[in-house]
Amino acid sequence: MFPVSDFPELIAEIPLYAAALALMLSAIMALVISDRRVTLILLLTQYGAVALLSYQYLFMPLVLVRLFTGIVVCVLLYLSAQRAQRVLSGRESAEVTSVGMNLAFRLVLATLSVLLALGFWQQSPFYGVLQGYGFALLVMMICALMMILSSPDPLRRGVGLLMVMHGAWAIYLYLEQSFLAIVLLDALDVLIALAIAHLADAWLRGLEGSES
Amino acid sequence: MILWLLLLPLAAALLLLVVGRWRLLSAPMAAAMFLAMAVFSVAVVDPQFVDVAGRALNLRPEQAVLLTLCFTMLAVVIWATYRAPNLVSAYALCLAGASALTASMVVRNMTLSTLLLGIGAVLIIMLIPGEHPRSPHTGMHVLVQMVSAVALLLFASWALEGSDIEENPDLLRYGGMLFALSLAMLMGLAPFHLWVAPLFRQGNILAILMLRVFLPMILIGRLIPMIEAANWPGGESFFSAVIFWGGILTVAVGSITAISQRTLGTALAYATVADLGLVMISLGMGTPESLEMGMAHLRSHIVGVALVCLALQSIRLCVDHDDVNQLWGVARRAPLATLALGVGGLSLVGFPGTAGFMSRFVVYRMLAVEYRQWALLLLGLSAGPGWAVLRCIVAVIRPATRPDLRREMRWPGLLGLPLALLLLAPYLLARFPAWAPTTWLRSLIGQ
Repeated sequence: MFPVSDFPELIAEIPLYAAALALMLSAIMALVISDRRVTLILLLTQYGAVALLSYQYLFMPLVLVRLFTGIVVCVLLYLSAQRAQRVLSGRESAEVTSVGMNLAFRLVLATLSVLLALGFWQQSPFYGVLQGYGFALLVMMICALMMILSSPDPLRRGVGLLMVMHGAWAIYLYLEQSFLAIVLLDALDVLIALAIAHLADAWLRGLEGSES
Repeated sequence: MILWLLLLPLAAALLLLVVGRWRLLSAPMAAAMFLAMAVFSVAVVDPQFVDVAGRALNLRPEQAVLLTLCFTMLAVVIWATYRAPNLVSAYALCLAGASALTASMVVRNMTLSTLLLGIGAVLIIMLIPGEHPRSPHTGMHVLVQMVSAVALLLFASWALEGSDIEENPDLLRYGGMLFALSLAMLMGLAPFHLWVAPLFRQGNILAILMLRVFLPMILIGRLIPMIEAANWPGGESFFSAVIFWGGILTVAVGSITAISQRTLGTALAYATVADLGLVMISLGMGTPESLEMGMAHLRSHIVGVALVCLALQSIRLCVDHDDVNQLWGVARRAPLATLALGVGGLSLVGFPGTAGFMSRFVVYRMLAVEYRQWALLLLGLSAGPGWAVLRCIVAVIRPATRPDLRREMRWPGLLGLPLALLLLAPYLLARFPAWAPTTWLRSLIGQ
C-alpha cells in the first residue's frame, strides 16, 4: 500500500507546468462542454491542480484541507447536476439552441477568453508573481467569468462562480496564510456550494412544476 | 459577554432546524431570540477591546444601537409574517446569518471580519428563493455579486492591514478603492444596484430585510471607524470623497430609475436605493455632525424598510400581482398593510411629517452649505421615488370592489403600528411637545 508519508515527495515530482496546463485545459473544457456533470469533474481537476501548485508556498496539511473541501464541494454539486441533467434532457436542446449557446458559440467564447487572458497577463500586477502559473489562474478565472455571463441556468453559473473564486483564493492564499483564514475560506466555499445547490434545486422544482 | 451575543443565536439556529416545521412554534421562538439579542447587544456594549482566543473583539455604542434596532425590526417582521410561505429552515438561516454578520461587526481583524461577512451573506442568500419562478435566478445574481465583493474585500483587507503609509502609499490607495468598490457591491449602491429591484419583486421578505437593512447596517458600522481614521494618503478626503460621490451617483440613479417603475416591489426597491445613497452622502461629508446625521438617517431608513417589508408581504398575500393597475381596492381588504405602506413608503421618500423627512432635511441643509447646486439637484431628484411610491399608495387606496382579493390577517398587521408610530414620532413630538414622555425616559436612563 502507498505510504501517506511519501505523498509530499510524490507531489514534488509532478512538474509544475503539467499542473498549470491541466488548470488551463480544464477551464477551457468547462466553458465548452455543456454537460454539468463533466463540468464538475473538471472543477475537481482544478482543485487538484491548484493544490499541486500551491504546495510550494502552503503548509502541506492546509493544501490537503483545501483539496478535501474541493471533493466535498464537487460531490455536493454533482448530485444537483445529475438531477438537472435528468430534468432538462429533451427540453434543453430546444431552449439552448434558441439563445444561440451552441458549441460553435462556446468555442469562440473560449478562444476569446484565452486572448483576453493573454492581454491582461501582460498588464497584470501579478505578472511574474506565482512563478508563472498566474497566467493559468487568469485563464481559469476569465473562462469561468464567461461561463457566468453566458450560462442561462443557475447551476452552470454557480460552478463558474466557484471557479472564479477558486482562482481568487489561490492568489489570496499566496499573500495571506493564516490558519483561521484558510479554515474560514473553506467553510465559505462549502457554504457557497450549498447555496448553489439550494438555488439550483429551487430552479428545477420550478421547472418540474411548470411541466406538470 | 460579547461571545454570548454570537453563540446564542447559533444555538437557537440549531434548535430551529429541528422545530422549523412547526411554524406556530418556530416563528415566536425566532422572534423572541431576536428580541433577546436586541436587549443583549445594548447590555454588552464595551468600547474596550476584549481578547477572545487571541482575537480582539469590541462593540461600540453606536454599533450596539444599530444592532438593537435591526434585531427588533427582525423580531417584528418574523412575528408579523409567520403565515408567509417560507423555507422550513428560514428562521434558522436568518439567525445563523445574523450571528455571522454580528461577528463580522465585532471582530477587529479585517480579514476575519470579511470572511464572516461572506459566510453571513451566503446564509442569507439561501433565503431568497420564493414562489416566483425567477427567484432562483435572482438568488444566483445576488450570490455572484456578493461573493465577488467578498473576494475584493479580502484583497482590500490585505492591502489596508498589511501596508505602511510611509513605504507604500499607492497600495493603501488601491486598498481603499477596492474597499469602496466592494462596499458598493455589497450594499447595492449604483452602479451595482441591479439586483435590488428583482429582489423586492421576487425574493422572500426576510431575505429583503436582511440584505437591505442588516447587511448595509453592518457595513456602515465598519465604515465609520475607517472614515474617522486620518491615515489616508492626503488625509481623510480621499476615502470620504469616494463615499460622497458614490452616494450622489446612487441617489441620482435610484431617483431617475424610480420614476418609470410600475410595480410596487420595484418602486420600493429604487426608493430604498436612493435613500441609502443619501446616507452615504451624509457619511461622505466627513464632519462629526454629518456622520451623526448620517446615522440618524440610517435609523429612519431601517424602520422605513422594515415597515414597507411588512406591507409588501401582506399585499403579496392579498393580491397575486403587484402591478400598479392590479392594486386597486387593496386598502379595503388590507387596511393595516396600507397604513404601513403609507407611513413607511412616505418616510423612505422623505415626505413631510415623517422621520425620513426630518433627517433628510438636515442632510440637504448641511450639503447646501458646501455644494449648493448638488443640494438643489438632489432635492429635485427626490421627486422621482416620491412619485413612484405615491402612485402605488394612490393605487392601493383607490376604491374598487374586487372579490378576488384575500383579506389580510389583522393581528400580525397590528405589529406594524408601533413601527409606524416610531416614524411619525419626531413630527408628533415637535408638533405636540407635551406628549413627550420625558419623565419616563429620564427615569429609564436613571437621571
